[in-house]
Amino acid sequence: MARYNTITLTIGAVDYVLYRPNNFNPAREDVYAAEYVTCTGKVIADRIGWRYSDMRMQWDAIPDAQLAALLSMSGECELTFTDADGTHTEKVIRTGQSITATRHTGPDGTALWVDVECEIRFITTHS
Amino acid sequence: MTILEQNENQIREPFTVTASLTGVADEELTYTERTTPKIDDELRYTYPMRALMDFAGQGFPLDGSCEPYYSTEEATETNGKIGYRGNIGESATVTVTANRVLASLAIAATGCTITYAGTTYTGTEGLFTIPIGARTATLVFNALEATERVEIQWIRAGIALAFNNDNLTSVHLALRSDLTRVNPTWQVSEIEINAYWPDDIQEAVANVTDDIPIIYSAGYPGDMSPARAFYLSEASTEQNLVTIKGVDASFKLTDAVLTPQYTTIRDDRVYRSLYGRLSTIITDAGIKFVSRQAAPPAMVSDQNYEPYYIAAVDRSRYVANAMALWHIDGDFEFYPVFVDAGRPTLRWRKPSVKWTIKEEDCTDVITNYDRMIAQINVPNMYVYDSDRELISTEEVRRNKIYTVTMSQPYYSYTVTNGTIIESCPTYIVFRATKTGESTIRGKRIYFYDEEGNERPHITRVSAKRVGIVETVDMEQYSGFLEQINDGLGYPLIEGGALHVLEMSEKRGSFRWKGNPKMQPRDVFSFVHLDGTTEVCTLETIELTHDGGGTYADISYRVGVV
Repeated sequence: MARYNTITLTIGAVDYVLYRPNNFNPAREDVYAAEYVTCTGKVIADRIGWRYSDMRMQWDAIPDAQLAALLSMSGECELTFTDADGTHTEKVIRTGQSITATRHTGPDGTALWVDVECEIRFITTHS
Repeated sequence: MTILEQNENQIREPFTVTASLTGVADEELTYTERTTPKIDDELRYTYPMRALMDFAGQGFPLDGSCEPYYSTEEATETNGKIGYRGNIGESATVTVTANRVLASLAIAATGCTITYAGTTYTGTEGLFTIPIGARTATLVFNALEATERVEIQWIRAGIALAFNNDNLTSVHLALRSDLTRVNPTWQVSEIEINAYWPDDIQEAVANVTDDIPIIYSAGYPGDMSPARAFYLSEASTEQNLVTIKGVDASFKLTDAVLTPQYTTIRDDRVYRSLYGRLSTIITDAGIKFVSRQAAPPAMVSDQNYEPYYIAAVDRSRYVANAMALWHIDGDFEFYPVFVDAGRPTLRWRKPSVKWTIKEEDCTDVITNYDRMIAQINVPNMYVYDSDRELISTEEVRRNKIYTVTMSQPYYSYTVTNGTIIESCPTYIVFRATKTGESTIRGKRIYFYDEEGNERPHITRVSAKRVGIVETVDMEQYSGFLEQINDGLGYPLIEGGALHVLEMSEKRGSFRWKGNPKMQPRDVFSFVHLDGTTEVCTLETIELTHDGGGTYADISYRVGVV
């Protein structure tokens, strides 16, 4: 069953289930190659396919274990998410990280990190 | 979907690009199969595999394209070989043995991966290159589908690489000509392929010999460019990135220097003869034409012979000069052109507009103007003595045939008491009319500077245009020793030099979408932003396939060259 409230990050062979980031709506963008600008200012290119746009994932708060998963992203990972089209698994790399997190410990001692951000790039171009 | 349709769009679908490199040696190999049934083990030949009636997979179509297998029927190049076919869904094992240590095996097989020495190779488009480094290799062909057979078409000593959009990182194709007006040089076209290859083939590539063909094509399925053949000049691998460079067959033109010689050409067959000579010089270099226009027709009957001189230049220089100086624009249009660009083609008809390029689709067009040529100076060519001099006197007998050889070149002979059968600047053959004495006379041909004559030249005849006027020296050249009004021996066909003088000085270059069917010396209509058009000749087209996209850098000269 598709899970809309989580995403899965696969690092190596290990799956990490994360809360779905705020406003997590991967958008598709065309990928162009051999671009040049004509003498009249027109852009000419070959459309070689589409991919999901670079995105910044944001969480109001995530548990300690999920932050650890984000911090362990290195090289190529897989991101599995569900949207209106179904469930998709895409290869991603972490392109930047601006984790401005603050640790919050609840009354029961559970650690939460608030205001977490992570930038990723989808690397697969689909034809 | 065609290239022309897609080039009308601002955003185009990417081209399909294919390239392959196959270099196999005539190495005697023996095969031992450990799997039954084998149908045919003639794996050392590369001709096509016959389609057999087969109930594997999807079966076979009832359109006559597949035939039953008769074990007594021999495979030929016409009916195709049977190939090796394994059991349905089962792997096959073949042991290959050679008389010497092989660097690698090239294999064409479908429906399988191949495992050798613990490494599994996936191949591309049914071609595998497997590093061996031994005399004997046991190969396991792993079936990919449970309902299909492993089919092996051939196993040869050598290398076979196939590239397509999936593994190509870039292809750079430089198709060149030289439209310089005077003293052009021959330009060799080149290809450079960079591709990802999953297997370690470093040793196999290092053992590849030069001159093996690289086949390239691009376009859209159903509308691909004709296959262009290049010859390997350099190959290397770094990690899994293969770099392959090749040149077109025209590099062979520089292999030899022509022997200087005098010969003659009959006036009414001058174009046929020149075209034939050009063709012979190219084919003598080992170049096979993909296409060659039939020779020009003979002219109005004229049995006079003109002396013709071939200078000691290399073939490429002769061909380049011929294309610059033999073009005649008049009642008879003669435009001999040799283009290689991976498809050696020889033609003589004046080309018509083949393509249209709109300036609005190009980057800024950079134009430049050559200096206007007002006069071409002809180098060490020849002049004639206006008077005949005595060459020799021979005692002859009636009806006997005599040959007289000269140490110096002569022209316009007379023979008393004899009929000339054949003559050229260095010898004459005649039949004596009656017994007695024959006197042979002729006009001596001199280097112009031996006589201290004014340097021969050809001048512009049209109204002068504004510009910097230049006088250029032409290199030693092969051509006619024809006597024109002022007595100078011009090395050109009449009108050829004038064509050079009348050629446009305007040249240009720009980046454009590219069309892999275009090649040097194609004529295109260049539609400018203001709606005017210019007819131009394509000089070079450098096609770059990079990151999945394609563009072309083009240079041209205005006019039909």
